[in-house]
This record gives sequence, structure tokens and C-alpha cells, in this order.
Amino acid sequence: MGKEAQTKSPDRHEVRNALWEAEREHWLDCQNAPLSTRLASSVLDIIFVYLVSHGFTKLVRQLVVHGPRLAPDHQNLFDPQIWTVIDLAIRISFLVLYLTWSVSFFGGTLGKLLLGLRVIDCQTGHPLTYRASLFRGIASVGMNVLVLFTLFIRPDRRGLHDLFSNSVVKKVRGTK
Amino acid sequence: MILLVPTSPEVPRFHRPTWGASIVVAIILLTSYFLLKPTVLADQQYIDNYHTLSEAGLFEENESEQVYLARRPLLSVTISPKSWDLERAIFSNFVHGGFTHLALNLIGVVAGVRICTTFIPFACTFSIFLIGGTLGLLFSTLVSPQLQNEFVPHLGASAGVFALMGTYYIYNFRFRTTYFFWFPSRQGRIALKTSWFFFLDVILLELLLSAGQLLPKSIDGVDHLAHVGGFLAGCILAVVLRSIQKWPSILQTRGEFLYWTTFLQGRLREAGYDRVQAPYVGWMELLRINFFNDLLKTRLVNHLAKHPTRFTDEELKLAFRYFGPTYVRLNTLDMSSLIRGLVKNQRALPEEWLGRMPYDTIIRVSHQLTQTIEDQEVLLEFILAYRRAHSSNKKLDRKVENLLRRIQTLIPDQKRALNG
Repeated sequence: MGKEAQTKSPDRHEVRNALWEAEREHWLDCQNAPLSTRLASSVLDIIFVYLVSHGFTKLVRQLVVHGPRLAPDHQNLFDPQIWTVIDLAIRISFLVLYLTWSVSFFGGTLGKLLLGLRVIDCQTGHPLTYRASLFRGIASVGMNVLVLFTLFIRPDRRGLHDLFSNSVVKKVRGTK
Repeated sequence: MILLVPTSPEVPRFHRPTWGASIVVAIILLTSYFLLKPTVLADQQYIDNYHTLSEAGLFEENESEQVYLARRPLLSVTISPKSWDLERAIFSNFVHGGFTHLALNLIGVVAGVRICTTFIPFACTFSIFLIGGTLGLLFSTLVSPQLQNEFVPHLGASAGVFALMGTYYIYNFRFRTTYFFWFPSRQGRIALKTSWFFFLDVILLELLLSAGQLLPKSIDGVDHLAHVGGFLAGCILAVVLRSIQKWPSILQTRGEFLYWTTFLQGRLREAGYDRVQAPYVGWMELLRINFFNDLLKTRLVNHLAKHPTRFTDEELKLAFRYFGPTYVRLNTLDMSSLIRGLVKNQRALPEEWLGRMPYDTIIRVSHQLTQTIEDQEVLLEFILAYRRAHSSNKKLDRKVENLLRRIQTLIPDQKRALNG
């Protein structure tokens, strides 16, 4: 006796996987994101990160200012220095998660997703692993930090970008 | 709201609000500012004198200090917790303490008036600005704790701005809003759902900060309570207005609403369309006016899915013209139901529509067609139809062929398992 028609296919995951693979191949074929769109997505990301950070900081500030008045028996819970550290830690964690986890889990930050961009592995078309995404974030921040670092440590105050371009910035007003 | 400025509901170009109404209100605010500038400057001088006298210890009693403050020049045109009346409350909407205050409120007023005139006439918009703003300022004046200075003037157009935002929120709740985020190019605009993002962007922070304002020593000098009060007043006024108008929830713009009330219902009655044809005709007419209305499209999709054999190929082709890539991408479940219904009833999918669809959108819809074996047959037919529509595109044809080959190797195995 044959099986009754099943309401769910046992191999629907395989069909879905085939569709995912097709999508990855298609993404590899898509054009690289234009600079203007990437910049626009960065502006959006800065706005979103600022809104969340700013909102959280306001919340912490409210807590520190008004908490002792609302709960006078627990004043030690509202130490401004402790809350400043907590605020900073949460904001940095959020930033790291936003720039790295969202890229590996969703394929891009909110700004990128809204503008139709995806961050993918340029060989396979797959979303980045968390490790690769973290490295990508560190490299991006690191490059900026490197420029600033050379600016500070060099006695002639030339940054990495100055060294590469054989340039120097001079103060030309108010000197004798 | 300053970082992500709502510029317009997501509507066709010819429905987009114009700048005329905003310019009128902006001119009124600017004129008021310059007319009242001497009063504002006199008030600043008065308060400087107050600080000097207070530091010199010349106020012997608290009462004399209160009497001095009660006579400050700004209170002749604005309100405070201890000194208010309705006339000055209305006038307070047009008074600003400085150019920065005015400039920030001008941005809000120009944006707020502009977006509201997509739905309601200018007279209604201005009335809501005035009534909502007045109610917001009164709310703040009456609710602010008495421990705060009773003669601090509550002024500015921001309560009115938030009233307009509240009105817009109600009218455009189920649709999307286009935002400008200060990036100087075409990419500097995005469309986001009003229901959650607008709330986040416009009011969430204000709710948080207004709670703090209820306690002594508020963190900043901004009247967050007036903002929240104005927003709520705007929402309530909008709900009342919509009830009076009997505005159907699926309609977005004023154009659609006017057409619906003035022409459409009568036309459908006279034409004698049956219960299947009438909704189709009605929604198609409305979509001709506003082809961005996703709620109408969803109604149309569900209606076609429910009656897949009742419409001609030409009618299906005309309907599918409204299901663009963005709509399909955001409504894959509804679209997959429609495609399932059509394919199972051996109706052809419009080739013109298939030709317009990007490959990744088709894949997204295909994900919804993987639940059952019957669905997977529909999936195969769907992808074959897509391939036929793109037969001249060699690159895409190759990709679709690879996909078909993968799926076809999987699906026959399942069929054999069932039959065996």
C-alpha cells in the first residue's frame, strides 16, 4: 500500500537550500556597490547608532539624576561613575554588535540593508562568518586609528595619509 | 527627527505635498518672530536685572520676588504655570526665545505642514497646528510640577509641530514615510513603515524625557511635556476628523478618499458589477490614483487568489502591473498564494510581469512555495514560466537553468517515494 500524500515534504529543506545557493550565485554576479550608496548607508548607520546611543545615555542620565530622589533608601545604586562606565560599556557593545553581528547574521547593517546592499564573501557569495565580520570591522576601524596614531607619534605630525601622499599640513597664520 | 526628516508619505509624485502651505506658515512664524523680538529682548534684559537684584539680596521676601517675575514682558504674550489664559496660550505658538529656537521649529513646521496636506486641506492642517499646539502648551503648563519656577514662559511652535506629527501618524499609520537623511543625492531618501519607525524617530525620546520633566531639576530647558501633549492632541484630533469623514482604513491620500466618496461607489452601483467584479474594478480604479498603496494591492492580490478563474488574462495582466518588485519582495506570502492559485488552475502568469521581476525577488517568492509536494510542482511551473519570460537574457537563463536542474533532481525523488 502506497503512502498517503503527506502534507509536508520531507525534503523541503533541500529545495530551500537549492534556492539559497541560487541566491548566493546571483549576488556574486551583481555589481559592486557604488561609492555614493556605500557612503549613504554609512550616514544612515551613523544616524541609527547615534539615536540608540543618545537615547540610552539620556535614560542613564535620568536615572542618575532622579533615581536617588525616587528611591532614597538605595542611593548607592545610582553612583554616577558606575553608571558612566555601564553606559560606555553598553554603547561600545552595541556598536560592536551592530557593525559585526548584523553583518554576519543579516548580511549587512541596517543602513546597508535599507539601501539594498549586502556584505558577502567574494568567493562563495555566502554571508560572512562572525569571525570574518569581526575582522572586517576591526580592519575598518583600525585603518582610521592607524592614521591618527601616526599623526600623534611622529614628531613632524604627519599622518599615514600624509606619508603616502608626500604631504604635510602647515600652520601659516600667526607665526613669525 | 532632525537627523531623519520625514519629507512625505510614500505616494506618487502627483500626490506629493507641495511647499506652498508650509511657506505660508513659515512666513507667519518669521513675521511673528520679528514683530515680537523687542518683547523677547526686553524680557531677557528684565531677567538679567532680576538676577542682579537677587544676587544683591534686594528681594526681602519670596512674595516680592514672585511679584517681580509676574511682570516679566514675555508673559504679556505667553503663558506660564501661574499666569495663563486661552488667548495667550494660542499666541504662545508664535513666540520664540531666539533665532536657533525659531530655526529648529521652522524645520519641523515646514515638514509637518507639508506632510499633513497630503491628507487634509490647509485649513484643517493649520487648525490642528493651532489647537494641538495650544493644548500641548496648556498640558505642559498645568502638569509641570509647582516646584519649578511658576513664571517660566512656555512658548514656541514645537507643540504645534508635534500635533501635526500626531495627525500624520494617524493618517499614514499603515503606510510608509519617505525620510531625508541629509545625504546630498538621490540615495539620501529612504521609505520606512510609519507605524513603528515614525514613532521611534519622533516621539519615543520625547516620552522618555517628558517623564524626567515631571521631576524637579529637569535635565534640559526643552518642553518635552508640551511635545508629548501636542502629539497626543494631534492624534486625537486626527481620529475625530477621520471618524467624521468616515475615512476607510485602506485609503491613504486625499485624492483616493475624494474619488471614493464622490465617484466610485456610485459608479459601481450603476454599473451593476457582481460581488467578484466590483471589488476588482474598485481597487483598480483606486490604484490608478495611488499605485503606492500596498493595502489596496494586498486586497487585490487576495481577491484574485480567492477567485483565480473569474478573471480574464487581460484583467490579470492589468492587475499584475501594480505588483512591482518592492511590493512582491515585502509581501511574498500573499504573492505566493496568488501564484499558487493561478498555477493550480492552469492560468498563465503574465509574461510582462515576469519579465519585470528581478531574479532575487523570484527566489524570495519561491521560498514560500516549498512547503508541500503540490507546492513544489507549482514552484517548478513558476520558475519555468520565469525562464520563458527571460529567454533572450543568456546570463539569467543560465542561472535559472542551474536552479531548475537542482530542483528537478530533488522533486522527482519525492514523487517516486509517494507513489512507491
